[in-house]
Amino acid sequence: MSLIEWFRTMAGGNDALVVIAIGVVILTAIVLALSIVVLAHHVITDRQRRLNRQRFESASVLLAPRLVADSPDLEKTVEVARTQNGDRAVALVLRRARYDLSGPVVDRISATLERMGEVEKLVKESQSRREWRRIAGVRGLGECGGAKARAALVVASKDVSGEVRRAAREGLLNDRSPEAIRVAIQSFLIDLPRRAGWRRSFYARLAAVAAEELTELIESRQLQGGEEKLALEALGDAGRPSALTLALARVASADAESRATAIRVLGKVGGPRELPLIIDALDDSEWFVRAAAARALEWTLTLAENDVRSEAQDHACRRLERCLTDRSWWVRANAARALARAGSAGVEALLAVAESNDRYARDAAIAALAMAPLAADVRQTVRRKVESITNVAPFVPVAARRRGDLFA
Amino acid sequence: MGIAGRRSKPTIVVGESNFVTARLLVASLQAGGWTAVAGTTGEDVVALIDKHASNVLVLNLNLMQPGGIALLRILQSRRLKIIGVTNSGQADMRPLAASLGVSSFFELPFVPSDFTTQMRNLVEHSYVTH
Amino acid sequence: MTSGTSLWLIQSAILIYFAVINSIYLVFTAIAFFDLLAFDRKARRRGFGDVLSGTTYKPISIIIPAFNETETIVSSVNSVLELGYPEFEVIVVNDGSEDDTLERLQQAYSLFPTTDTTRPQLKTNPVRHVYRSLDHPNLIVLDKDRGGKSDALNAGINVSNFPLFCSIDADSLINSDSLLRIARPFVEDERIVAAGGVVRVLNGSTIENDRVVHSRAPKKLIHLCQAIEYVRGFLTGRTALARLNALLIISGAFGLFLKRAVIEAGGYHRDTVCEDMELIVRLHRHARENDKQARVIFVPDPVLWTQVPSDYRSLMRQRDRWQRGLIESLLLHMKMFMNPKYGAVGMIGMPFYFFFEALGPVIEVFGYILIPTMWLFDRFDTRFAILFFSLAILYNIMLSLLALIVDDLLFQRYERASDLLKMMFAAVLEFVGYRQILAIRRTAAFVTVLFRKGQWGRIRRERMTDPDVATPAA
Repeated sequence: MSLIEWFRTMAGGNDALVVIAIGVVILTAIVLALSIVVLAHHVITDRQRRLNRQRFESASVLLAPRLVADSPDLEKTVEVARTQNGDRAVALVLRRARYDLSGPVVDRISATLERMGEVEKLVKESQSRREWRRIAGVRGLGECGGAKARAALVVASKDVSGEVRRAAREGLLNDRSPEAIRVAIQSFLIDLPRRAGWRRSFYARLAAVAAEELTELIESRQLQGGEEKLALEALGDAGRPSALTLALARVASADAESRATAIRVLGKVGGPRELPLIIDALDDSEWFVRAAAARALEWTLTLAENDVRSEAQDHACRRLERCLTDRSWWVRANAARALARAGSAGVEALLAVAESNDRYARDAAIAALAMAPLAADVRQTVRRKVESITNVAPFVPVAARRRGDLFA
Repeated sequence: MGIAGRRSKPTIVVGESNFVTARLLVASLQAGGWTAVAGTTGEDVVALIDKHASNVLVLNLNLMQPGGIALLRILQSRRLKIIGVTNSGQADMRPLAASLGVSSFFELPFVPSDFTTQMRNLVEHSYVTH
Repeated sequence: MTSGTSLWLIQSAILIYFAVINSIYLVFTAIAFFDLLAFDRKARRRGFGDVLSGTTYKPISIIIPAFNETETIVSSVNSVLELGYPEFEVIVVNDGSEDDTLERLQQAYSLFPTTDTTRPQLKTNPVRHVYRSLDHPNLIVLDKDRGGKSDALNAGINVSNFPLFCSIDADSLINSDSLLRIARPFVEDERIVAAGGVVRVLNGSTIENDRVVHSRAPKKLIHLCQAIEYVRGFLTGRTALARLNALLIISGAFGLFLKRAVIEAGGYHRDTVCEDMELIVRLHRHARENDKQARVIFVPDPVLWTQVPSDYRSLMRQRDRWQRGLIESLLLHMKMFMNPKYGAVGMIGMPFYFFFEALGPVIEVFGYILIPTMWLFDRFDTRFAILFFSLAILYNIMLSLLALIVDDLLFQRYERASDLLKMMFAAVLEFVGYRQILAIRRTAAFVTVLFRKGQWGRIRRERMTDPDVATPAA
């Protein structure tokens, strides 16, 4: 009796169940065989992965000194690395290095990658029918740079897929040549991403690699509404001097959000002359402008040059203290944080507020003290003072709670 | 040796999770005449600081295990000279990082010679006197 | 109708049931494989300028409800405080612990009491004190009257400052980059209201400084069987259901939520033991009833490690609770069942969970009982027994092995091939006793749900360094 006949007998003539049961047995046998294959695959790929990792690290160690020195024998070292570690490892190292470095060495890396055939391989990938392969190829091209890669990226910036276009723009920004930047900006303006986060990310990268072009873009008024503010903010975050002029032009704007952005930027790139503008903004009619001013002062008090910092300490403390009783929570919180950076005068002001009757101001002050960069002995003093101020037993041990003694 | 003593350059610890970036930073520092070692996790960084008795740190604020900011808190009591490394668009991390001991910042991508100049300014007064 | 005919009908019904349910799982596994493959390709080819290392992230509140967690609370909070996420706060909610959980927190983090100035948007049991830490400005500790996990989570939501919140169990360890991975979809898609990650079994792995450094298969069979269940459940069922937007469960151990959506839906329900599932169903329901778009997704690469029960008693209690929670959630939202107004959730998700997840153990137990009963009454049917074995047991073993294969091909979470082999053996051994015991307990839950509404029961917790849990690194 064959297996099928046996099954049929077992199932009492019910063919559907026979089919399914036989199918299950066959599938199980296949899966068992597959399990053995996967086990073997696991061992092999594990070894291969370790080997790839070793090659990658070895290539990095070999190439890094030549790359940072922009050494004349970079190309020779690349050949040695290729012989010792293989093309794949070397290409990955060079791509990453190009991303991390700035300066003349970047063009040499691009030329080397082109010579190695890496760019050609990625151009083919960027033309694949499958979207994920195109994305991978386009990203890789952005990491390689050079004329050939740039040309392929320009084509990809018009791809049917939004993700490919976004990857192409990122790649063009990584290329950093004026032509690539121009195409990236044009593509971005046509294809403005819906999510503010993506747009912020674009401006941030643009500010990092092509601040002049971003400045021109802002000045040309091609950016509408909130976009100009995002772009200006990105310039300020990157600490670009051109942000200062743009911010000064907007600090007295009729639009409150523009004022807030300008103040935040001044906090990051401004000097002693801009300090009074920030301090005056603490009295603005809009809460978010006042909050921005307090935040800008926090920045100034933390990161500015010594002369600016001490000037801010002298003049801003009293104004910030007033902000601790502002009706807006954000203004109070930001003012408290700024005071926490204002040295001993700021800490004393916060401790004084922590004893006030205004529980909102008190809370903001205590939270800011927790974040203040205090020396260990000062921190102990603050801790004791805070515990006595808050007037509640720090915690009640379990045993006492059970006994009903609340103040054991 | 007399009171004026010799000065020895400190070993600089680099905390950077990407291996290539770490090697580039280390190579830049070595080109500037320093000894440098790199760790790819926060735990490695702490171990290296202990091992080399280092008081200069180049730290990527995006480090993991523990995170860059958490690591700064852990190291706060050690009074290290720290340069914070960020990616573009991460300026808002700076005030908090500065309050936790970071003396100066630089952003990727970097020019190696600019980086070594910045390090020189930071480290200038960090020599150990014998 | 003769008794023979009746018996034949019952047998056929059982066999057809298992043929259908396991075939559906097979289809789900195929869907999951292609979905995860696409995900893996996309993830691997992310550029260096990955968006989350720049400007596009959303700050997160991490809520850790704690009740009598003295052994594990500090490890858990430490692992969370050291996460590499740009901006987050940690809110530990001490839900009326009777041990020294709060004292442990006080000693570890130098807590001081602060004024509670939050506006409670969700109703909870009274909060006694709100503490902040002078050493960790982003740590908040709430001490409140006991109210259960749901109540604790709602209290945490009330205090939170950020648009996303994540609930993590106190006895879990999280990978450093897991938050980044699970938060990413919220940046990319504004319709997402909840995302679940993968929960893996901590027992057997090597931990160092509250972090898993080597992922190992568990040593004990009870842990191995649970590990298999987790792999199978996460990688096949959830992936496919998420794809269809019919996912009704996100693990309570590791889920990220849009705070606004949860508050609008009313927060966590206090009268159910599986508050995570009930919340997800309610999020779907609220969105549909208010003409909003809501997606609940599963993200396969962020990992959270959790202790699983080491003794059968705790395991039974846990599964009883899960089954009760499932039944309660389904009953609470019966209106959605097979109702086209609720889209894929009503037409696919609810029926799937009811007919297969809830009723599955009942039918399985019935099958197990039927075979010896027939033998006792001299009606033993070899045919039925063999087919039952093929369709109910062998088919399931095959699905477990397939899940392991998919997991290893795409994620290779176990470093050693020997661990993978151990898991494969466990996929077979799971069906020699373990599965049957759980099926019986889950069937009994249909009765206990009537008498133990909203009750958790006790699960024995072990210290993170106990040999049963994990091996400390050398």
